[in-house]
Amino acid sequence: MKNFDQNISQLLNNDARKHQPNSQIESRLHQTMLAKGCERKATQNSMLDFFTMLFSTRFLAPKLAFGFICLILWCFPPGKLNKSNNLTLADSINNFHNETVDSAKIYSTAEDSICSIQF
Amino acid sequence: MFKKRYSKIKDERLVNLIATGDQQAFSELYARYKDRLYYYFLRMLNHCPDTANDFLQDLFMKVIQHPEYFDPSKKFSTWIFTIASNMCKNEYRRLEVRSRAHSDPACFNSDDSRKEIDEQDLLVKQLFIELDKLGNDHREVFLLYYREGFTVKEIEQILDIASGTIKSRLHYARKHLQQKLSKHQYLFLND
Repeated sequence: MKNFDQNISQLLNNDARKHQPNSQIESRLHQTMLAKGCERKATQNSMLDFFTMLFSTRFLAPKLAFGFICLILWCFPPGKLNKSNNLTLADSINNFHNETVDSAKIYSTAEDSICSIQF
Repeated sequence: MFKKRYSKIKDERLVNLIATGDQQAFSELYARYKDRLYYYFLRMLNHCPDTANDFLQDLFMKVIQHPEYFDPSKKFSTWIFTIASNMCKNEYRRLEVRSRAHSDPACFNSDDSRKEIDEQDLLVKQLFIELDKLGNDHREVFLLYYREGFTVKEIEQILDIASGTIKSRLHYARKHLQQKLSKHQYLFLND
């Protein structure tokens, strides 16, 4: 059986040597590859265009507005208080309520003192 | 200088380089596989050189356009032959070559443009006529095993079929060829 296997393989290998693909295929494939490379370059160029636009004076107002919003969000991120102090929303509401009550007390004390002033 | 360097690089690494647009890497990979795949397509697709050339081009076009589909943890040779096998199956479905292969021998003859046709050529022709009779499944396993030198395990990965089926197909093809090509005794010496 080994001999049969070897002979068949040899026969097929000899036959394969007699058949060659079209030599133009490789050059066609290289052209396709080049075209794909150009596509990649075009993508890179469009990214370059984007960054040029970003740092130019075009669309200055919307860019400034967007930058301002980003700055605000960066300085005062939503949920920062809750995360840092491990406070729940209920705690935040309670805090707000207590602060309001304290402010009302101060106000009423101030009002009383104003009222107590005798002219 | 470049050829020497690229010739040492493994197939799997070459695919990665192709993804970055490396032309030299593509040339090297193409040189390694063009003859094997061309012969595979030629013998699987009705022995038609034009069809084999078209399929070879399409296959490498796929490699160029979507190198990211290759899983680097797998062997490149089994991956590319899996694609080739699937392309052949699609072609059978589309054109019903299966039924035509027996009735239209014109394409088989068209690749014999050479003037010298020796005894070996006749034997190969007879061999494929017999394999065509067995069907595409047997011919495919036969080619992958005897021509491409894949192991049963590798063929299992390429065709996604059980190893028992592969062994059975090989055994059946071998037996059939031994019966039909018995006049070419030298093939079966020491069996």
